[in-house]
Amino acid sequence: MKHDIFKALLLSLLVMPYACTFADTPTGQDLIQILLDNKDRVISNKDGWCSLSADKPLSVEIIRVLSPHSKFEDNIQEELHYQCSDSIHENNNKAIPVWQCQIGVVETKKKDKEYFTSRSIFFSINKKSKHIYMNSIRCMD
Amino acid sequence: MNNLATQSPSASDLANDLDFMVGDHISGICNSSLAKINSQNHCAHFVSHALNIHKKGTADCKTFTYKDKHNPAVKSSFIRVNELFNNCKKRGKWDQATTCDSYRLIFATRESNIDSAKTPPVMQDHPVKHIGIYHNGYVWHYSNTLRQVKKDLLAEWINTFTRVYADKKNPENEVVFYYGIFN
Repeated sequence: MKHDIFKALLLSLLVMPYACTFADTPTGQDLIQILLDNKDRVISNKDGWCSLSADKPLSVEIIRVLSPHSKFEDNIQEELHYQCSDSIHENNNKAIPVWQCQIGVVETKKKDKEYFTSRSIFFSINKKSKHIYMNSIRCMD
Repeated sequence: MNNLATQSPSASDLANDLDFMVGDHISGICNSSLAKINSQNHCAHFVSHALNIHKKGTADCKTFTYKDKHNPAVKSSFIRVNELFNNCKKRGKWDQATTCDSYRLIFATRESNIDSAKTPPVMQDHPVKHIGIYHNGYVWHYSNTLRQVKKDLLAEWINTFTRVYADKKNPENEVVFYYGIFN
């Protein structure tokens, strides 16, 4: 009996970090890691959400979003932002619970904080497996 | 253009409707989840809903998420300035617009973002771009800074975007203004 309780406790300790990782709202660091883990997967240009001339790896979009467009303009301030919310994604006619996440950059004028540009990438992550649904990717600017 | 949905209100009705929207956040105009995200550029999103124009198959707020797709209160709209511009039946440099059009779209961008060698000109997807609706000396547009619909005098609007979009490191890349008309 004691042995069983010990086993259960050990198992729960082993599972806990796993459960926290996949059930808690992903952090900005998680999002970067998930994107980098999927960098070689291809974004299709079929759906009109990422205005690509041809199918391209996700890494191209990551660079586009996170590289300050206005890096040569010294009067611009860049701010990195991220956000995840509870959502649903439709995959093969099935509604799957996901984190819908966004990571991006907003550029404002340093002097008066006037909005200049923004770029973001939105994507849905399976809550259990961290799998990115490629057809959920939305490239925004 | 067969799949471009348009509804053409009279100019005076439109001006009244636009005046009524001044001060509104985009979420007061659109029920989509995209409208709740302040970090996005909502200028094309606003114009498209205000004029009730969209094109099936382009990125739009209705297909942004599963919930938006299944929410009947969410209407389709353009969300990208360049897609709106490139779907205008008539488009060209602002100072070449005919005065007989009761209202027209006004676009601000940098010269490098316009392929003027093409007829009609084509706008690329460079992020430095903005759009408003012009009528009778005024421009209605969505201010991403104030996060609300704003009404400016034309000269004021042009001055603002000439200043904001100026490319100080490359002054030859001038801020340019274009018009667009759907019908």
